[in-house]
Amino acid sequence: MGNAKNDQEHSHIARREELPRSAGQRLASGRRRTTDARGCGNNKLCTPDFFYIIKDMAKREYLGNFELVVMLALIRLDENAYGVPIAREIKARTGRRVSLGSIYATLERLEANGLVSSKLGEPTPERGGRAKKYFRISGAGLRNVRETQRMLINAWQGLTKLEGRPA
Amino acid sequence: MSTSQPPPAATRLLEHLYCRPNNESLMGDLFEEYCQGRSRVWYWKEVAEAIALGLCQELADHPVLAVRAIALAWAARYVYVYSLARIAFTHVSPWAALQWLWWISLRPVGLIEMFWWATDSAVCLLVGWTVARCHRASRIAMVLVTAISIFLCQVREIPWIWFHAKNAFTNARFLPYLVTDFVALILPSLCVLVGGLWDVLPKRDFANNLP
Repeated sequence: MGNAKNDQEHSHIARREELPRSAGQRLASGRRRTTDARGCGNNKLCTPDFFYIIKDMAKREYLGNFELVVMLALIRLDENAYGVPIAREIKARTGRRVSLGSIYATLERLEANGLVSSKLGEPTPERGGRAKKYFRISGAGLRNVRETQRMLINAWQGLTKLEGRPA
Repeated sequence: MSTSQPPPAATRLLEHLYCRPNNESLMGDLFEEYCQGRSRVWYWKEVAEAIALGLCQELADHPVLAVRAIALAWAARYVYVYSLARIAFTHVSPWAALQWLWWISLRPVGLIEMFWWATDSAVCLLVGWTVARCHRASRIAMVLVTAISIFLCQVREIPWIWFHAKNAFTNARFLPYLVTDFVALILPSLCVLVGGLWDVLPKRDFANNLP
């Protein structure tokens, strides 16, 4: 009885904090996880757990490669950051052709995470009467960029193979 | 600098099939870039990419709804095929049914095939409509993913299309078969799309003859 309660607590912790533990790994007590509060059986990754993990995977600490590039473009463009200049800025800085659809997809994700804010401009005839959507980096976004920069610099340090001429 | 308008078909596709909130801004950006001298191919490519990305984002946001939409569509089609087969095998002996199948396989478009297409199209229209009604919040994405799943099943027709297309060059007798296979490839998924999105498709103002 006591063990079952302990297991329930462990499985709760596994879902909240240590994600890899949920897939039928052994608990500290040496026994496999038994049926938890949601009724998931032994040795199974039950459906609610699965979606919980997928959801948590999306909440990354650091920005992805393309997200970082978009955030840096936003910082550089400051007030004039909407789809077209962002795409041009990325092309100029990285040499990569990026589609406007992928920029909007990334900006939408960043906005949902509170790293970017947006406001609609006035509709103009050169855009077929459609309004521009201006994006701006938020305080949290700026902190996240700094954090990612620090992390990347740390990761780069001490790599003797990468010193000198590029391969 | 290009002064012409961007391809209207592409703009309409984007307007109706891009299922994310930044639709207007994206269309404005594409318009602006096109007027700066981009090509029609570039425009089409951007539209296709935006629609595909929008769909992927929507599916990532609602994976359970997507699975439900696909399951609903396949269950409806299965019930239809099962009922048809049951009726056929109750009223016709299996041997006669086989002979009959052999006979219709020798003709490109027989009455039976017409009947199959008509009823299957009706089922697909109904499936599209039901999926759209059951997933109002992300209707476009769910109807699109259902149509894609049905299209992927019909891909089995492609070897036949290839075979008949190759032979149609030398012998015109194969042309009706090619048409039949092609219709079988696209018709079910097209019907799902029409059934699900008929009310968002552009309407023509017949009274004033305006698009």
